[in-house]
Amino acid sequence: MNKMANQNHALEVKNLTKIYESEGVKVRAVDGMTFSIPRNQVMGIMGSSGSGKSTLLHLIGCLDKPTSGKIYLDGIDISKLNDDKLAKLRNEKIGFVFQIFNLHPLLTAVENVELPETIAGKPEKERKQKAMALLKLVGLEARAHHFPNQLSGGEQQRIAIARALINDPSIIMADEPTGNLDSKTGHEIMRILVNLKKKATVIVITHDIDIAEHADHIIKIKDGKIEYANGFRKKII
Amino acid sequence: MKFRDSLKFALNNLTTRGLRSWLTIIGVIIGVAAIVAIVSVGQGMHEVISSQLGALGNDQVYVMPGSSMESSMESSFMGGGFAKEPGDLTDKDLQVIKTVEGVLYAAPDIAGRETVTYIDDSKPLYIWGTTEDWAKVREASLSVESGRFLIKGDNGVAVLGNNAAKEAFDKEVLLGSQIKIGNDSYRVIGILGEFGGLGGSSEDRSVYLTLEDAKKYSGLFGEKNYYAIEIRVESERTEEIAQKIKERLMASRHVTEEKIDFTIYTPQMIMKTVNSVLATINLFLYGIAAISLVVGAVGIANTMFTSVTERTRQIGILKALGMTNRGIMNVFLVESALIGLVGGVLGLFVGFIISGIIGQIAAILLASSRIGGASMVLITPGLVIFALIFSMVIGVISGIFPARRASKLQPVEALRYE
Repeated sequence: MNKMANQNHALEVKNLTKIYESEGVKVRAVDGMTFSIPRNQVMGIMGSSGSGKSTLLHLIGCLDKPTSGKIYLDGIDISKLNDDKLAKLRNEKIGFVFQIFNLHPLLTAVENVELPETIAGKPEKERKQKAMALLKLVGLEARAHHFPNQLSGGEQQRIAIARALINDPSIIMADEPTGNLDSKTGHEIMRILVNLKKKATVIVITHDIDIAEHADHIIKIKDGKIEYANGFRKKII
Repeated sequence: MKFRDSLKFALNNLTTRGLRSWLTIIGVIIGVAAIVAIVSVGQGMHEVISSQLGALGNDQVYVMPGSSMESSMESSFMGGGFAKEPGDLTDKDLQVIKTVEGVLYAAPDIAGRETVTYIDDSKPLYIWGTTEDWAKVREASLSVESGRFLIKGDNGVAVLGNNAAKEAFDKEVLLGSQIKIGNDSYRVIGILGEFGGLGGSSEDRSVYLTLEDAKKYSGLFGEKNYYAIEIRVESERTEEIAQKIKERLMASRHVTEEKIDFTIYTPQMIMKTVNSVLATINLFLYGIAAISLVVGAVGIANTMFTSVTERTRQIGILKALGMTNRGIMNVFLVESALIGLVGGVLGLFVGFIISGIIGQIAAILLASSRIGGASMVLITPGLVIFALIFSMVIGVISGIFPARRASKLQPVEALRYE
């Protein structure tokens, strides 16, 4: 894997562009973005619907490939990695938290939490112990053997956070993690996420300014371009 | 992901879609059961025929009129026709055969069907005209239950096959009693034990006369012509001696290989022909079974394609969490292999049951014949292993395309799928 020079940044994006073609029309969902995030910080990526923030998260989360530009994740140039290496990177370095939770419906809470470790082929006993500890951390030890449809939205999101932590990721990427939750639960979830910066760099996508206030940095996106960037939140707003 | 976890995933998915999974499995069960039943019956038939032919002994050579084994066998084993095509094997041929080195005994047959009367009961039975040597040729399978077989100089006497004596008529024919063929009376001097060997059932239903007596019915056989000549040769050299007999007869009858007008065969040759017939029948039946298995395979593929579509989002989640394309493919392949394997195991049991039923029906239908005592069904460990591996392979093959489609899904698109 290609290493970049600056090891202090958890993520470095250089001139990133993603162009979609829909019915003959080219859409520049991400248009030449350049930014970086220091380690163990919380970054909020803000923008209105259709601004390109989710596309950006998919690109930096190795779920999609850019049209051009470079992404260095934890020092690794991901633009030249093949599907298998990207999958390994996602498994080892990234923890995802999605707006609609994306828990596996046929697995229990504890099985969902241990899923990244299951995929990695870790021993069952070891991953089960780790998953139970994380469920305890998010206060859902008692719900370990419940299926997602037996849990509330807030509980499901906490399960998703526990799942995002099990592989000790360098970066946690949360796409509208509070979007499907009421305000009180949303702030609770954000508090959990902000606390995680002791362990990892946290990137949160949101369009809610109240939620974004929890972040150390904010990038505001409009029409696929960065409107504000590279500063502490208090300086930007 | 470890195989055990893939298996757990597959089981989880299959049990969640219980009804659909079972309907798919039923398709495989039908295909595997058909194959198991057909193969086991085919193997059973082969085994029975082999053992029955084996009982004839490997020291037998038969000479029949006609230029091919098929035409000869048709007129003898395939029913009807003993008298329709009188052979042109003559006493001269018999004498030539007896001079061939390695020939121990040779007995001519003339045969046909006549109405035989015992007391007031008349039944059509096979009539065999032969010599005392016939008993020596057939020594391996012939036994005399009471009385004796024909000897030189006999006249106006008959030996009855076991079935002809005991079951053909309303009353059992007793030793020393009289039977009538046409207007001629014959004293029963011997009753044979049951024959061993294929075709024994027709020998059991026969009446044996001397050649001279049988020739009275020359309207059927021709005065000097034999239906067949049965020969016993030194064992271990059967094929070699059969070839010598052929060469000597060709020379004495002045015929070339192209214009040969007789056929020589041994039990091994009959087995070869029977095998060829069985292979043709089996090929046809395997074809039918294969079609049902293909339908089962299409069922698996259909279920798996539906499953991939339904689980697109789950695939997206697994990919987002780091599962590789190969890992996704494995999950789906294990699932389709499992459908195949479960179908195979259950199909095996259903196949056993069907085979058992066929075996029972065959036993009832063939109860009166020699074959009736043998099992018409043979299930070998090889068949069991083949059925299980084959069904699993069918499952895997059916699952390849759906699994490939699942593995090729882009994570971001799969996650967006509603």
